[in-house]
Amino acid sequence: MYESKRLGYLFVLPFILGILAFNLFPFAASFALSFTDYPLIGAPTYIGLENYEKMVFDDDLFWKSLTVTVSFAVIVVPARLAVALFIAQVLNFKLRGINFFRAAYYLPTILGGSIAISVLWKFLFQQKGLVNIILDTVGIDPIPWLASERYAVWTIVALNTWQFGAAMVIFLAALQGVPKSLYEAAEIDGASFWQQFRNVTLPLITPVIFFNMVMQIVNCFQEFNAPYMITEGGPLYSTYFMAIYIYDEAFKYFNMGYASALSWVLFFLIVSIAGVLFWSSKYWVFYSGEKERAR
Amino acid sequence: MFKRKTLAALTFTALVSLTSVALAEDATIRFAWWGNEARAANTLKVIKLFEEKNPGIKVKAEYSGYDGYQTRLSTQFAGGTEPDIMQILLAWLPMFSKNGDGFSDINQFSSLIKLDEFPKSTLDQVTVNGKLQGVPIGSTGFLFLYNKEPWQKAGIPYPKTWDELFEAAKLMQEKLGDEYYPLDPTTQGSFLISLSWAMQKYNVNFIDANEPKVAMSEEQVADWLRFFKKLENDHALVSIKARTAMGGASKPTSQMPDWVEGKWGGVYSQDSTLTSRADTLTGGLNQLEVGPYIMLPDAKTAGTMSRTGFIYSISKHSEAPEAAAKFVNFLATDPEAARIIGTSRAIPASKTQWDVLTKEQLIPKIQEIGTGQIMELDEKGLVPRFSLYFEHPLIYKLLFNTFEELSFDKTTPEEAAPKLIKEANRILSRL
Repeated sequence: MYESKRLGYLFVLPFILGILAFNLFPFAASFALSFTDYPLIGAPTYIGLENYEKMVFDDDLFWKSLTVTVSFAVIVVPARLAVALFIAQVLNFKLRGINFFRAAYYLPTILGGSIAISVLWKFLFQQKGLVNIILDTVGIDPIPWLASERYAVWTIVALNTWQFGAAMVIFLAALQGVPKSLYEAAEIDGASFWQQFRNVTLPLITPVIFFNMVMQIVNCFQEFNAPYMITEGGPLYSTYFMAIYIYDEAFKYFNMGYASALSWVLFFLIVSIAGVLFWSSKYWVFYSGEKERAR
Repeated sequence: MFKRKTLAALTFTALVSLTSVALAEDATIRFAWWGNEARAANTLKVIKLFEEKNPGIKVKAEYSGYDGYQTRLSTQFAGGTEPDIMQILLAWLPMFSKNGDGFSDINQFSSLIKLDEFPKSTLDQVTVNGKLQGVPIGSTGFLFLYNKEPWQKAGIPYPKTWDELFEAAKLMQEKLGDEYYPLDPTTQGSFLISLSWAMQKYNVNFIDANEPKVAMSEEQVADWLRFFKKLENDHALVSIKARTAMGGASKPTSQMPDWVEGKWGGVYSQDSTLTSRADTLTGGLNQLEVGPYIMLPDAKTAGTMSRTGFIYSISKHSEAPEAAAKFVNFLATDPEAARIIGTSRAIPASKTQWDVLTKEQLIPKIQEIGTGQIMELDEKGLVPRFSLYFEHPLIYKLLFNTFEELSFDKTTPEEAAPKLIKEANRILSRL
C-alpha cells in the first residue's frame, strides 16, 4: 500500500514540480516584488506600499485602464452569455444538418483567440475595410472604427462577443440535460414557449449560467490579444486594458515591481468579483437534488 | 603509499592542465542580434568565415526579430547569462550601463579591435564615464525620402524650405486629391519632423545633450507643437489620426496601402533603413529619391537626429572576452566581412568597410546619396547632438501621447507645452 502511494507521488512529481516552479513560485515572487522597485537589471529595492500608493493616488493611467477593463467586462459578459444561450437554444432544436451548424458556430471560438483573427479584424474595421465598404453601399458614411475613442472599444467587444462558442457548447449540454418530461408537463398546462423557457429552462440551467459567468469574467478581465493587435491600446488609451498596461510596464519599461503590483490588483479584483458571485449564487442558482439532500 | 598518492595527484594535475589548455584554445562565444532574414543569412556566412580563419573559436548565433529582443536580453542580464556579444541600440545604454559598468570596457581590447577605424565623435557617443561600451556600427540620421511618382504626376519639385513644403502640400491636394500627402511621418517622425523645424528656429534641443533636463522654454515647446498642428492641418503630413484609422499609428510606412499605391509622396526616414521603404513599391529602389533637407533660411542646425545606429557590446561576464573581441573586430572592420554583409547590418562605421562598399559599388546608389547627405550636414556642423535620454521609452511614450492628443484635438499646444516639460523633467529626474 505504502509502496503504491510512493509510486503515485513519483508519477505526479513532474506535474507538482512544474506547478511549483512555473506557477506558485512566480505567483509568490510577484507578490514580494510588488513591494519593490525592480528595473530587472540590478537587485530589487524594497519600497513598501509605494507602488500601490502611486497607483491609487498618482496614476491616471491605472484608473483609465481599470475603467476600460471593467466597462468592457460589463458589456461583453452579458452579451456573450446572451448570444451563447440564444444560439444554444436554436441549436437544441432537432433540425436537419444540425451537427454542421453546431460545428460552424463553434468555429469562431477555435480561431477567435488567435493573432491571425485579430489581424483580420483590424483589416475589417480599418478606414477602407470591409465593414466601411458595406456601410458605404447602403449610403452610410465610413466610420473611423479604429481611430475613434467612441467606436474602437466596440470592435474589440464585437470580436469577443463573436467568440461565444465555448459558452455555447456548455449551454447546449445543459439544455439537453433538462428533462423532457418537464416541458411536456408545462405544455399540458398551456405554457407558451417563452413561459417554458422562463420557468423551466432558465432555473434548471442556472448552475451552468453561473459557471459560464465566472469563466467569462475571468477571461474578460485578462483580455490582451485583441486590443494589443487591433488598436494597440489606443486611440488615446480608449482600449488600454489592464493586461496591456501590465505588459507595457513589465516588458516595455521594465518596471517589474510596479507591473507586479498592478497584476495583484487585477488578481484581487477578479477574486473579489468571483467571491461576490459565489456568495450571491445561493440566492439564484438552483442545484437539482439540493432540497432532497437538505431533507 | 606515499608514492601512489603522489602519482595520483600528479596524474590529476596533468589532466586538469591539459583540459585547461584545451579550454584556452577552444572557446565558444554567443552572439545575439535582431534583424531580418537577409541580415541573419549574411551574418551566418560571416560567422562561418571567421570560424575558418580562427580555428578553436566557435560562434553560436542567437538571432530573432526586433520584437521581444530587448525583453529577452534584459531577462538574461538579470540572471547574468547574457550572450558574450550583443547587438544593442544606443538608446538602451542608460538602462543596461548607466554608469559604464554594464559591459566590458572595449578600450581594454584595443590590441584586438582596431578602434582607429571609427570616427572619434562616434566612439564618444558610446563612451560612458570613460568606458567604451561597445563598437559602433554606422551612423544613422533622418532625411526626406520621396516616392517620385506623385511629385512627377503633380509636377511639383521637392521642397527645400518649410514654406515650399506647405505650398507642395496645397498643390498636391488640389491636383491629385485628398488622399495625397507630401510626407508620411511614421510614429516617431511625427514629433521628430516638427522638432527639426523648432531646432532650426531656436537652435536648442528639447532635452539638454549634457544633462538630463528639458532645455527648451515653454514658449519654444508650444511653438514646436503649434508647428506640428500646422503640418497636419495643412495636409503636409499624414496625421496620426488618419494613420490610426488606417489600422495603426505605429505601422511602418512600407506596410501602409496608401504608400504602396503611391499616394504618399515621401517619408521622414532614417538613412539606414531607406532601402526597406522600397520593399513594397513596384518600381523598387528606382522609385525613390532623397530630397534636399528641408531648412529654414539661416538655420544654424538641421535638427535631424543623427546617432550611432547600434553597437556591439561585450558581456562583462564573458568567459572568453578576447575571442569575443576578435570576432567583433572581424565583423565590424574586416573588408571580407563587409563584402558578405553589405548593408544588411546597417551602414558600417569602419573606414575600411565603408571604402570597400563604396569603391566596389556594393551599396545601392540611393543609400550612398542618403548617407552622404547626413555626412555632409555633419561636416558643415549642422547635425546637433541629442541626449541619450531622448529615445528612452518613457520619453517616447510621453511625446507620442502628447502628439496623439494634439492630433485628436484633445489638447492645445498652449495647454500641452507646460505639461510636456513638467512630465519630461519628472521622468528625467528619475532616470
